[in-house]
Amino acid sequence: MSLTPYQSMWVAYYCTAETTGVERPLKPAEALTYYRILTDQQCFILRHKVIGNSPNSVRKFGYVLDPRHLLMLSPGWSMAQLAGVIEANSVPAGQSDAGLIGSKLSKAHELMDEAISLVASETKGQKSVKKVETAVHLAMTKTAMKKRGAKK
Amino acid sequence: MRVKNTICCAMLTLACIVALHTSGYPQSPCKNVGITRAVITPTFVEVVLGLGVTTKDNLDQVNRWRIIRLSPGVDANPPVISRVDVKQSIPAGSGNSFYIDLHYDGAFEPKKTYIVAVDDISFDGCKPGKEAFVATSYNPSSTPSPPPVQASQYDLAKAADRSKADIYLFGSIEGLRTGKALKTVDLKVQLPFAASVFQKDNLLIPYLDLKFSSNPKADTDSLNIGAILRSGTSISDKGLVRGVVWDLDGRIEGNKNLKFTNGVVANRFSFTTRPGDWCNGSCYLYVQPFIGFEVGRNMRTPVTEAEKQTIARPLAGATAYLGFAIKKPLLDTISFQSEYIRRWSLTSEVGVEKAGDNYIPVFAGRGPRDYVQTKLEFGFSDYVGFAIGHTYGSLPPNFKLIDHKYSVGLTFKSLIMKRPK
Repeated sequence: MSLTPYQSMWVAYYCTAETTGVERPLKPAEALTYYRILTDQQCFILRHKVIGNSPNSVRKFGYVLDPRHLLMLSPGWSMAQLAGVIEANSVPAGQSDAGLIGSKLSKAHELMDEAISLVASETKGQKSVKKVETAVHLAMTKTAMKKRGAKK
Repeated sequence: MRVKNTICCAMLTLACIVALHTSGYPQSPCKNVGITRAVITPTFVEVVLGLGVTTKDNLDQVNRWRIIRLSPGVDANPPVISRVDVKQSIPAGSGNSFYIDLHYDGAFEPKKTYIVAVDDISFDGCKPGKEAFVATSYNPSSTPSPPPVQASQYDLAKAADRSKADIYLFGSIEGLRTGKALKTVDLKVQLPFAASVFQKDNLLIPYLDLKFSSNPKADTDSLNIGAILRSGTSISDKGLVRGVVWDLDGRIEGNKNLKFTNGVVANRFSFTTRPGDWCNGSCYLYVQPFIGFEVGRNMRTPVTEAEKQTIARPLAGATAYLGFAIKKPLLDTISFQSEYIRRWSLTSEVGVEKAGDNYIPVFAGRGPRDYVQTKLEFGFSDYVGFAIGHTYGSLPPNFKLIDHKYSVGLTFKSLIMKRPK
């Protein structure tokens, strides 16, 4: 599920109104200049608010938004366009966290694999850790058998 | 006599264009407006309207709404609307709502098309004169939705003027059979990238800015290549100052052929403020002040006087916008934009100027240097306007004075859109 059109418009409108301090009547097709967003610096503050730094950001509805999706935000954008980008690109916060954990886990796996191959290459030029394990296991078995033989 | 005739012709052409456009004004504010879209969720259908509705439109009556199945092979009857909620208006208290929730009994079949329709719609009493309906389909997501497609972040869109444009190119060559042709180039290219340096949503904006004219009296001879790292935060939701944006700018400033270059690091703090809004929202004034500091050193010079000179310039200024919505047939808007910047050179700066084949030093000295750019625009309609521009002042590194440069022009701006059949 994504944000509904109403929730997206809520975020777009109220973050804009917070940025300027002016509440103009909602006209979705009007450019942000109509709402008194006139400069790139105001656009930066608006983007900063939308992604989570405002009580009316996407986080209000349990969503997160990657700021890259609002890279080209400019005073020429219409309110409907801003709401549309928010609606299309917001993802549930939990899903995003799960995604983050997943990506960290796969990164950890990659690092582990790299460490194992480094150990493998360091150990007598053997190419795979499986072989190292097998060699170690055989050596241990032989030692155990020798010990048992000595006891007998 | 010839000048008078030319002016008369220009005025006549202008009057014709304005007349053509004023005759094309829509007769009704809600003509052909209807339902923009409908989104089906597991418990309700959210309807988005093209204009706001009020209580007098009575759209909360269940029997006015219908859901009709459109796809062939849909077995079950379409859901029945059980309750209609006109959602709270945005902003609260404005009375106009663009969103309606239709709660339903039954179930939508996934990926089948349905029509959501309403009888005899009106928008605050205004009848659009057409049926209001929209086709939609149900796309349930039992599993978490995949992350959005990483489409290209870059696309071309219209920009109001140079200051708001990411790509701006103006070039002209004027000449007569005798004498040298006058060449003018005004080029600006910038492309923002996402960066996470000081905060999650930093912007990195590499840019190139070139202003050059072969007319010695109108030549700023200024080339800037660099990148801005933009950070910022909101300060307050109340009061005059709403936010602060910090631009850390590393650039090479020089003349057009880079024979003379300075390496400069600049910091600029811009303060976003609350615009003044008067005349029932028809007039506004927005002022965005800024302060900053530029430090640097000469990197390359053809004259010994400028070798290894250091640069230290505090700066302050403001960008101002003043607008009036006139909304009369022959005059739609009047807008005034101005950007003013004052630099104080703390060191005695030396620039260069070409004299024949050689370069000679230009002693810019210490002290304040102003630069102001102003534009006054009369919008006759959404499409046609008349603009007067004015520039005065000097820019680094040469700080050569542009002594009241004017420009006057007629503008026509429109998108070409394809009408659905």
